[in-house]
Amino acid sequence: MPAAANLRAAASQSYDDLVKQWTADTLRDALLAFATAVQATFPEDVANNRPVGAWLTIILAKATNMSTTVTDITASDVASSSFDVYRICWLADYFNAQGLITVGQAAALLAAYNANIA
Amino acid sequence: MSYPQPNADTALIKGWKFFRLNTPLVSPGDIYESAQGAHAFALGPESDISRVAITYFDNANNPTFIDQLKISPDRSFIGRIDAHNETTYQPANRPGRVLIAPDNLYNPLFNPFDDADEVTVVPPFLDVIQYFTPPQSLVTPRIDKEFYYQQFRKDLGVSIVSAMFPYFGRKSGSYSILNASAHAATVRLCGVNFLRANNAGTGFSYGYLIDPDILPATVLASGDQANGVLKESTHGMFDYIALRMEYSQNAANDDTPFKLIVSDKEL
Repeated sequence: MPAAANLRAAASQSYDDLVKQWTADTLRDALLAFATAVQATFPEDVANNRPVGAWLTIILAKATNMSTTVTDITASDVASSSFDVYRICWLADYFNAQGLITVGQAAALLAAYNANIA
Repeated sequence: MSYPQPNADTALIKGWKFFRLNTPLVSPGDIYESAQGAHAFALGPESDISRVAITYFDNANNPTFIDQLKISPDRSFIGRIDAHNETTYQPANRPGRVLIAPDNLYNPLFNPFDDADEVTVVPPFLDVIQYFTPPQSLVTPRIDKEFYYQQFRKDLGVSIVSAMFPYFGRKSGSYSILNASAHAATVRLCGVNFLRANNAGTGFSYGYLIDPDILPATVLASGDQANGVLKESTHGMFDYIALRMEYSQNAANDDTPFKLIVSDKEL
């Protein structure tokens, strides 16, 4: 898929993009790289960062728990992890629209998506 | 309510025996947290969301220390869960806490009828109760929920309106539409399943209508009504119910009372 133009677009293409990563045997690495890239952008000491941080926590943990043997990663792993990516993108889009996170934080999340998943 | 979210600490400090998270979803990605441990989790009576994921700290689950359970109207969870604020989830290195998120797919971008001039989407409510003391028992079906509208938003010049109502996990329902306007109206009622994508296969965008319709397009003359029931065994289970109403004249403020009652009980 082409780069997502915004976070809603990223949410809606996340399944297709992660299937692409799965077939390239890079699903686990892509998820870890995506979430790691924006970890520092959402520090815990700001309360409004925590919901996005909560999704990053879940995405990182699930990716870490995925098998490092790429052939053991299943369609259920793709469905589950892409649902998490769908939701973090939607949440960040809402938080950005409401001014609960900064435009820069939303842009960083989108950039991390496009660099590592799209 | 939504964000900033209510704080479970306050409920505990005030001596309450539970923390209730009762909020309409503001996005498909809502997630909430509790820094307190619990003795049980259950869906609250007002929840439209039927499946909720509880993420919690689990010492035994090395190396991430994360585990997850799901609750539904048929399955609450009784058992002690500690929040473990003093430790961190890995590899995110974020403090232990209980995370609560809907596990139903919701996509507010779905427009069920492309020709509708006005679309009303009723957002789903998330209602979860976290118990601070062990409950004696937990039987947690949701209340029968009633959606009633005497009129839908319909500006002058608009002839087609649609509305969407949450149905996640419901097993039965009842609908009633009365055409109390002075002219004919065509009504149609459908089940909806959401999709995440705007390009899923051949042009399906964010969702699709369940075939066959619950109520196929039916012309109601002035004073006529359409009534019916929904059954899991007949209609299946789906995410939302979509209503389409087409008025034969473009008058504003047409009275077409619509009542939908949804239930967790099997008929």
